[in-house]
Amino acid sequence: MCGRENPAELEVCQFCQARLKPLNLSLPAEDEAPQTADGIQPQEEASEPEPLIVDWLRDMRDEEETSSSSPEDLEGNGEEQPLDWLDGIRLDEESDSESGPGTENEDDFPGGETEPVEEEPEWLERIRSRKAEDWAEAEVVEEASEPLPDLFEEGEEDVPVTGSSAEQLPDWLADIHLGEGMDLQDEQETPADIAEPAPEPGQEPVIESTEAHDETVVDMASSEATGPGSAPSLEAKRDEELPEEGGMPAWYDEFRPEEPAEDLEIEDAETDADLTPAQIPVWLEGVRPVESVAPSPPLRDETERKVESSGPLAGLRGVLPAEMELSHLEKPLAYPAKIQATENQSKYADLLRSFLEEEGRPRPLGGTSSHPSQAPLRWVIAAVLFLAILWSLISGSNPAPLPPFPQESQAVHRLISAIPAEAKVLLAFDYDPGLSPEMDATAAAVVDHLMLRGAHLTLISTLQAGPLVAERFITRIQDAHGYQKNEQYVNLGFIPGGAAGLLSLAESPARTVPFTLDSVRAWESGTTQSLPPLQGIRTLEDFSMVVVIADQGDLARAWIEQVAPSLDGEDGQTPMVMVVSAQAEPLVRPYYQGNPPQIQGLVSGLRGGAGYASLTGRESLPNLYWPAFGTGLVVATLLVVGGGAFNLSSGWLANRKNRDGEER
Amino acid sequence: MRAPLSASIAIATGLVVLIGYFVPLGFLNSLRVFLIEWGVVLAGVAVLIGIANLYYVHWRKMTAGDPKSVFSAVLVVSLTATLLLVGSLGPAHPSSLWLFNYVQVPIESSLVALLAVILVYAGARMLGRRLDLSSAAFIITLVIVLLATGPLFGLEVPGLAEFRSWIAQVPATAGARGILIGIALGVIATGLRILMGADRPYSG
Repeated sequence: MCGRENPAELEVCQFCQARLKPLNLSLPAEDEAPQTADGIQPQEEASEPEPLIVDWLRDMRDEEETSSSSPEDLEGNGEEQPLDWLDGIRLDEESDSESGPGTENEDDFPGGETEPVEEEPEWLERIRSRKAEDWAEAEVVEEASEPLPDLFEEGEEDVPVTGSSAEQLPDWLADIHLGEGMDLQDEQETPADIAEPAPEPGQEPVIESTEAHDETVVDMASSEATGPGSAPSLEAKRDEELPEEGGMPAWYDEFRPEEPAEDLEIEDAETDADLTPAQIPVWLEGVRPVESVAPSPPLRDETERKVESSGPLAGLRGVLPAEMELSHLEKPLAYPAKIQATENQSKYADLLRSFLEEEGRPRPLGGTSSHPSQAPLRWVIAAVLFLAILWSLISGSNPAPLPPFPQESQAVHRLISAIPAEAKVLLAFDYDPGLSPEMDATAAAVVDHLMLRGAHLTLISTLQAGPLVAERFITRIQDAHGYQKNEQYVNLGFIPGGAAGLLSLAESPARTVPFTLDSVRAWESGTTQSLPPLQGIRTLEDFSMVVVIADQGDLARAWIEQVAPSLDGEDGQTPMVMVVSAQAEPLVRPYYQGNPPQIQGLVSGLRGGAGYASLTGRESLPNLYWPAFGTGLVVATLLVVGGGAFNLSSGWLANRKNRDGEER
Repeated sequence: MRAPLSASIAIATGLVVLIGYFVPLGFLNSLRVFLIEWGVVLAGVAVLIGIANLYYVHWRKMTAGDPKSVFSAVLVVSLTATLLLVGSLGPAHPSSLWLFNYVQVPIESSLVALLAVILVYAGARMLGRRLDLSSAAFIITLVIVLLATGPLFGLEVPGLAEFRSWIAQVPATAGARGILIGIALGVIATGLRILMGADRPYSG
């Protein structure tokens, strides 16, 4: 029970007093030979029943005998401690047995006769007194509700008492009900031999306390301490002490515990009349369970019916299990990990989960209609335009005359015609190289006119690539005039800062652009003179004309807003002329149409350049580009109109099909 | 601490230039010119910084092994070669002009020429995608202007050129005037906001 180790020879644990070896019981017969110290005889020996001696009792007897020879050994074991009380009992019984039949074999009792009689405990004295008085009234206990040792318990499975064995049992033993706990190890013992008759209906089962039961056993052991020879004396003692058949010992009445009402099978009033009512204390009465309050019968402790199957107490009933319950461990119940949720809850949980999953998932784009690739169409348009223009250039099949010149272009022509020879003209090239084809063609006639007049040109730009555009224009487009650098023209390079640079140029040109594109000092200094195109030029108003060639309206507007106010001089205002692309014309024309006009002339686009060329009558780029330009425009117009009509009709047909399909 | 200092400098400079523009005072005019020249110099330095940053960005792309780093490599190589060539020979040198005339101008011109194809294609698809009053007016105006701008194989359509001139001078100019007025008002408002410190485009 306690799990501690004990010597092998021990039958009872020295710590917790639990039985280490199974109990072997044998029913003694009346004419049985004197009981040996080995214990109960097997069932085959039922012809010679032996007095009822339990193993532990027998062991104790043996130990006493041993201790009598070597008391010091026994004392060292500690087993002798609980036997002191036994000695006391034995001594008393010896004194009683001296007058009674038989003598006890003192050698059978552990502890020895040499031990002095110790003072009896009070409870033992009480037992002896009661015994003498009530022994005759004691009845056999048929069934006990409280846990009693299986040795003296009666159960349903009681082995029926055989006739022969019952007749052979002594009266006192016949009264004592052995019960089911008498499952012997070798199954040779006959619990039936010592089985007690079942209590009569109506009788109250005797409920003995364990202590009282031990006392009874002790009495029995002490009476049998004399060994085999003592069996008759023990039997005699038992005959004396045991109550008559059907009666209860007096000591039982004293220790009779509460009787569970629902557990009782016998409720007859006759039974109550035969029993002496116990003196139950008042406080016990108060806690006594009431049948009406407890509707359900109390649970019956079935542990008493459980027969021990292992250990030293094998075969006994109602004992504490020898094997720990841990040895019979079962797999714990596997509780489901799944949450017990209702159907609706599961549905809502799934819905929430779907929402959360869709949150991080990109929404698939709607199905787009499968349109064919448009790249082939663009290739076709490019090819058509290219072939049309190339054919026009090569074949010259479009002898288109130059357009008439507009009024603004005529004003430019008039102004340029009015400038003196070798006049100083500021020429600004503010267009990107990408628009060079259009702007070169637009400005070619104007610059050609200027160069025909012998004007000294000062090239400047507010764009980073402007100086090179200007250089290219003069050297390649107007190479026919043979202008020399720094002689007829000077390239002042690039002015950073946009509008601020133009303002700075207007305020102080020499400080703004002191060097040319070749890093040659352009302006007059203390030691050097200015270049010929800049001689006599201190401010912008000293120029005869300012011609701005720009492809964007913002650039033209910056020139007009920053430079035009500084062109008013004492001798009049220096005219400013704009040569712009067709896209910038709407933004520049208001300055020309203003009152007073802020610019004095305007040439816009290839049409304006071609018209100016018609004024000068000289062959230039506009003459070369004009027919191809016209062909390209016509083809582009046809492509736009035709393609638009085709797309419009196809869309209309598709819509009609869809409508018809829906109507069907 | 830095924000008020830069704002004060910007506001003071703007006021000096503005007042000097309207009030012809000697020292004020000189100061105005001086400040404007500083602005021009700073603008030039900004162009150099922009070129350097462009070089650095594409250099990193090239060395980082970007999948499209080949274009960055072309840019870096071209920039380096042009810088070395033009920087050593000068921008007006025939070699520099050759590089400009036969590389830069054709490439940029070709890119602008693509615009013609794209505009024709967009015009052709416009009627099929969206047909309403504005798109119809646009197409009609486009056709008239295109046909009236160039020669029609020697054909003279009476009134077509005049109509085209009227479109260019009246509705187009009117719209342009409105744009210009809007631009002017916006510039005035922006300038005043900068002078008052409400806008600080110069702050980091």
